Amino acid sequence: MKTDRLQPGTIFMRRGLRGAQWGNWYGEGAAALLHRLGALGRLKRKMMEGSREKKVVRCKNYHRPLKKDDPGQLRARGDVKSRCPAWADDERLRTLLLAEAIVDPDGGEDSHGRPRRLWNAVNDCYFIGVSTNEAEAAYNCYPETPATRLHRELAERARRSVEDIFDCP
Amino acid sequence: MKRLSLEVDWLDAPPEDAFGPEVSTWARLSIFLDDECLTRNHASDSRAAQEERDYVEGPMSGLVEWLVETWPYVLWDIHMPFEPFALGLGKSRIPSLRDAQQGWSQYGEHLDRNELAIWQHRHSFGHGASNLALPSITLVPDIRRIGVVVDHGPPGFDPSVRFTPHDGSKRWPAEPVWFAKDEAVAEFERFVNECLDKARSSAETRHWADWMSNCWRSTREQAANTVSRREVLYGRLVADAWDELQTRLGERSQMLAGILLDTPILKERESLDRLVNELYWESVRPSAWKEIARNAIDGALPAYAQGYALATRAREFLGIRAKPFLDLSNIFGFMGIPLAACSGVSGLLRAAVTSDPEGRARMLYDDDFSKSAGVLPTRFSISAVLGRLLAEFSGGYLGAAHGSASRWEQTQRANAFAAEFLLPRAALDALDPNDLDHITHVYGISKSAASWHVINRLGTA
Repeated sequence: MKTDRLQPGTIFMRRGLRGAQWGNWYGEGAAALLHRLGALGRLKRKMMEGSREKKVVRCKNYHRPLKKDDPGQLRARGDVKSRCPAWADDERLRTLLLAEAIVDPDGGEDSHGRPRRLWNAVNDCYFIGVSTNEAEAAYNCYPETPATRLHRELAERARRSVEDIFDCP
Repeated sequence: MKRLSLEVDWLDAPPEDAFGPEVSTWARLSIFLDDECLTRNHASDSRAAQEERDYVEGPMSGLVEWLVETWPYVLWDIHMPFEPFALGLGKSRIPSLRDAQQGWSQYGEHLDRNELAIWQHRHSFGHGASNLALPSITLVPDIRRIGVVVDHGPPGFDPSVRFTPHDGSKRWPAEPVWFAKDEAVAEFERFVNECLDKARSSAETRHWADWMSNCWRSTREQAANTVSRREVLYGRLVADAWDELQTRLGERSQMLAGILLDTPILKERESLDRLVNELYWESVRPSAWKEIARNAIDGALPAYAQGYALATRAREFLGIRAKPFLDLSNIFGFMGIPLAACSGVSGLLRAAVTSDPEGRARMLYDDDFSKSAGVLPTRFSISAVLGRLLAEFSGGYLGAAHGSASRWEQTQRANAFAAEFLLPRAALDALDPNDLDHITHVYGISKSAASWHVINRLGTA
């Protein structure tokens, strides 16, 4: 097993869920290592479960692109770092992108134990889905810089066209 | 006055655009760094300066999640997976989200993109957790200080607002602004606690607030724990071997700790052992250099200006003011600092210095680097670690190194010291700044270093 998969950030979030009862997991020798491996296994299982769970896109108004026929708007409530391109204003596409999104291995979990960060890419655009921490598995999705260890896989995905997504069985 | 401040003005959230903890943490946020408002902006579809405002509006919960997730790294992840001074003496290269969006294309292909990506996420305020519009704010920690680097956001994102540097003469990306880490910690802690209190006040978001409070407590404990902090600071290899190293080296382990902060994260035990072997030395030589280090330089000056001032003082002490000197070992002999070559440390450091509380010091340089890069870059590296010794000796054990991974602020000061020590400003007046061949020949400084020094000191290329 590659040791760089054991990212402390991932473990923090689990520790947080358990009220930090593990103590110091760095310096306790074999027992700590076993504990960490066990935790990783549980986290991976959780991630797999999370990835199968039906997820909902929370597409905020202010993420939606402006179109020609928009009446124009005054300064919207909320200042956002990115807005989706016009071709992403398609509910079916958004649902497909979220369904096949990759769990960020360093993202940890949300307050309900689901993956906190998901990534996907298409048409040279990189999207993140950040859990909204609702009871329902919902993700706030928007374009984001792919500063993640998944960047190579995302770059591959970014080469796909929108049609490729729809054609995918 | 606080040097960093995050001012929050709570608002009711727009129901159609806020979910989960965003509902109770909707606010206007203004970030100030010294006199500069980092959040000054205008709407993307407006160019009118009169419509500028100092705040951004949106949910704070994502920023809280980012701080909680990355807290130990924001405070202690000192190693950068890139060479901050690779372009020479005058340019820093701390990447922003703009660089990340372009695949760090200005950075060497040899750099590990995974390490860069992880570093970028852990040091870019709010990345991967919040969609609130902010400029790219990169937090760069050192042991007692923290640097803030501001840049425009990535291109092509169609943000709803555009940020403008407060002072029209300043352009982003800006040089890092450094201030006390304790101050940054206090301000970020206050911000997180205020947001969590606000979220807890609403029944709808209390679950998230309680959960996040546990995570917050846990991550702060982690950052405060010396053992886990050591892993973030030095990597797992050193953290796992630390007890053994401390038994072997005793108080000299502090020298090793200093050097390890200036080398890349070690991944091989052999490299660690080579460094450890260089820490065993005996010296009873006089320590004239302490006379130069005795009077502290003005810490309020920028790091490079401190380096210039220290070099001028060193030259005065040696009685060489504007004169060139040929043999560096004579200089070190006069100062009472033995200079030794070592091998097998390539890629870790080019030169290093260690000293004990009595002021006995030893300097070493990488023999392999000297053979491959030549005499002049080696003279520069050795001079730079002399600068580190003179600037950082405070009566305890000291270890410092100069190389591709040495710390930002210390390296900027050491580079300025080395350039001024080898080629003093007083000498430049009598030289033709365009005749770099002559300068290189007479003063024993490399062409690239001389050309940057001329630009930095005379303002001309």
